[in-house]
Amino acid sequence: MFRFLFDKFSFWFAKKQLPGDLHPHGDKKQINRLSDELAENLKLIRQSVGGSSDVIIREFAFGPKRSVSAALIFVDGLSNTEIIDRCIIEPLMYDAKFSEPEKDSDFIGEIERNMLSVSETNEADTVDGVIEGFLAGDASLLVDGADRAIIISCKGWEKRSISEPSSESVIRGPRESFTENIRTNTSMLRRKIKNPALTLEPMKLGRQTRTVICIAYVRGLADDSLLKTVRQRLQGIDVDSILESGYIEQYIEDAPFSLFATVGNSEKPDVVAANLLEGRAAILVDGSPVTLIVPYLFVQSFQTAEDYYSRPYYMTMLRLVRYAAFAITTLAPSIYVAITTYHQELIPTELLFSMATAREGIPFPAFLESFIMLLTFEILREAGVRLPRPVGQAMSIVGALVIGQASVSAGLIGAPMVIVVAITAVSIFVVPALADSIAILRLIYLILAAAMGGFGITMGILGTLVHLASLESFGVPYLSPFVPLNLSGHKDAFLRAPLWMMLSRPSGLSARNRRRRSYVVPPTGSGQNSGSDGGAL
Amino acid sequence: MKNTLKAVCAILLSAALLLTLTGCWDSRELDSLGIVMGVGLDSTDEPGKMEVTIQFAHVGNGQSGSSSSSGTAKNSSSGASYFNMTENGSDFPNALHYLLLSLGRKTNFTHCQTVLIGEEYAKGGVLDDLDFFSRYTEPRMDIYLFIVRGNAGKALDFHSSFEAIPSSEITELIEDPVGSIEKLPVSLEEFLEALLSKTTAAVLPCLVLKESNGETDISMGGCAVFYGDKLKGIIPTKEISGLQWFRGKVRTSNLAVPMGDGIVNLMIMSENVKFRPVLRPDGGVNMKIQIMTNGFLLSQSSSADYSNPDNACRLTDAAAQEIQTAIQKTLSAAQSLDADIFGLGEEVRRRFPKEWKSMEDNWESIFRTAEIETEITVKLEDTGTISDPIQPDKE
Repeated sequence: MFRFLFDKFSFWFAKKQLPGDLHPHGDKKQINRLSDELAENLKLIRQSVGGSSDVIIREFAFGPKRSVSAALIFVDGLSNTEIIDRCIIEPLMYDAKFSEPEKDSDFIGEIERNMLSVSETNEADTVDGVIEGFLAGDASLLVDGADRAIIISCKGWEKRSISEPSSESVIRGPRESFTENIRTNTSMLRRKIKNPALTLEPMKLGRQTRTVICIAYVRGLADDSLLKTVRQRLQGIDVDSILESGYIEQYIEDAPFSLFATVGNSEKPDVVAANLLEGRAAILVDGSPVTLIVPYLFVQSFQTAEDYYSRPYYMTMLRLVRYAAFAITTLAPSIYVAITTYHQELIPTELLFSMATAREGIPFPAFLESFIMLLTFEILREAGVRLPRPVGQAMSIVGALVIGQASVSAGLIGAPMVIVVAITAVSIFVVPALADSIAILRLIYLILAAAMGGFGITMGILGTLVHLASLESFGVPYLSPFVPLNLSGHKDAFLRAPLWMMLSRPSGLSARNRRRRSYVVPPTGSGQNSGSDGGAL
Repeated sequence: MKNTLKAVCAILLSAALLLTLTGCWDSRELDSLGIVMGVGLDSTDEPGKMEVTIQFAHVGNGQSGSSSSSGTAKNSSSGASYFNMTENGSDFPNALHYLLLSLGRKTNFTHCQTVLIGEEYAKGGVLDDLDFFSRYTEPRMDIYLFIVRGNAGKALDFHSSFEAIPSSEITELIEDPVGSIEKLPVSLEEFLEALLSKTTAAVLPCLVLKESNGETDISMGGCAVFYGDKLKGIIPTKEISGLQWFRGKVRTSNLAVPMGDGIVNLMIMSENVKFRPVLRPDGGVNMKIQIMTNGFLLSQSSSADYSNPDNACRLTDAAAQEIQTAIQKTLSAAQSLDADIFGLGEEVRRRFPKEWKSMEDNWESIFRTAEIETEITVKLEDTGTISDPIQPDKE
């Protein structure tokens, strides 16, 4: 159905896309090579950056006779001035190693090799390369008489330190979460997986923002076809800005019209590392602590990092609780409406009396009643996210007392409905990954229940299941391991089998290297787990 | 292209809006329901007319309900009380139709638990009215049916002690068979099933009305036996326990066994019955019943020590004798009414289809001569928390 809609709407989108609209310099921009005149180069650069006050162009002369003029360009605040002072300007100006440049000699290479005491340098031979260099936080060194510039790495800007995750908190397990800095993030991944097979493929996206992104995967585990798809979809993105990983998610997801997300995300390095080791790929985006994970399956919404850190029994129970909470939060209001307006015979007689008593004098039909309450809850939730911290207490009083209690005593809402909405509201936080989908799905079911009762709900569930079964995420069936049925996958779906039992990686991922452990017997101390040599990795 | 888009949008939008506007015809809010708890069917003096009493649950915020016929409306903590409405009509749906003229809400039979049938009315046949209860979608098939010795409408207004609504209390009365094997719950489904058989006589439990201090009280009493769908006679309470023994439904029930110098009460815990008909050479049929049952000592007024195997053996033999007597009594009562309440005929038909053909026509007379052959084993499992009888030493 969504495909059909997309086909119908596609011309609409096509029309809106104005070619060339996004490009700052036009499409066929000529490449400005650096000339060997310093003044000429500086003129071009000044033209490009305009009068930005944070771009510092430091002109100086060096050499034994102070005859070589040069310019160092960097952005104030992005670069570490200490490095610039100590490791670039100081050696150039005071070290006497440098002799007069000879004609045809590679004197710029000489400077790079002999005189700069910094760890990383690159060369650029275009004006754009130079500009890109200093805008990324490095210093660009231009020397008169050379048609190449040296990009000297001296990034050093203010950044947030690593903190605890705000959305995926755990009791057991690492507390760190990604930050806005992609280098910090990749280093966190590298610290988890100390294996040269962990590959971090860089890429730049966004015509205006030129955001650095990074595809992370473990070579030998992630399928080539998956990586090909990821690269293809990322390269297909042609927008002017990437400000958050959400921008990318919406461009690469399989089913943009579906209520369900086919791209996952996490802000915890251990979660991303675990996914990489299952054969998935991650997309890190500079400027966002949220990392994308593909392919993303329905079952993953019910898995948390902690499931694997604690012992399996209680975690299995929690898994089932999560599925139950998912069912409750999606269906509770609609089932309540369906039962009270169509299927009164399903209510135990005593309960029917108290429910009917509670409904006595309520002016609205049950559907409207629950709709009002759900709307109120969504408003409260949204307000809770946006409001400034000190106002929080006032909010909760308004929410709990005024809306919960007063609406009942004023006879606007029946007490059972408040209970239903309360359990609905609480349950949604058990499966945060599906929260957006559920909020809308719930309303659809509610309308179906009001119009057609239990039959409507059944049709709704059927429709949802058909839709879910038709989804794919980067080539993997979304409902796997349920549809298509994969028994070994069930060790990590409703249940969480002991780690030593989960021998293979999830099906559909990592076709070449399925096995991740090499013994089946429960590890009982020494001697038992023989044959574990030559592990899967 | 643009037009197609518009059309698609319009269809989707109107479909979505349509859902919010309509509802199925049977959509009903809880506060618009007249919840029927019980139904009473009675005869009237006028021929071709019947009296229907319907008991509604009165849910509301504590205000006491008015009762249209008689009696008092009661309130309880759950906020439920009741009121009865009575109307005459040619049959049940007809009476219901007229009753709705004075009722502001739609009747809802989904929680109806009991149908009480007046004794007089039952004599004229009940099948036509029960058709409504089994055909209509709302009433359940597990409604309990009762015969009221007297006026059914009056029984619906009795002075209930535990429940706020009399129908609920009647249901509770029959639903919990613990302690009494004279309770004989029959659901609508079971009753209709029995009516379908040619030879088996359907039975229904009876309610007896008692007047005391101006208040009506009820109790279970006896069992009504049907011939077809017409009430034929009533077997008194003391003679119906055999039917429960025969059906193997005795659980946690007390069995009094006279033992010489006193009476011993056994608590029967479970029962297992095997039954098959045996053809007699003279053309008659006997009922061969095997009963295995066990129980423990509940109380004793005799002086014997039943932890002694010999005494226990005497006790179990006497208990077996009691059970046989009970079944014999019930059989005699049934034979005097010519009502095969045991389903013996059905069993003969199943086991001896050839012989049945010749018996079918004069089954009544064959049944009248049926005898029982019993093989009853009673096991005494436990003498309770004490073993010796409590008695002063006689030295």
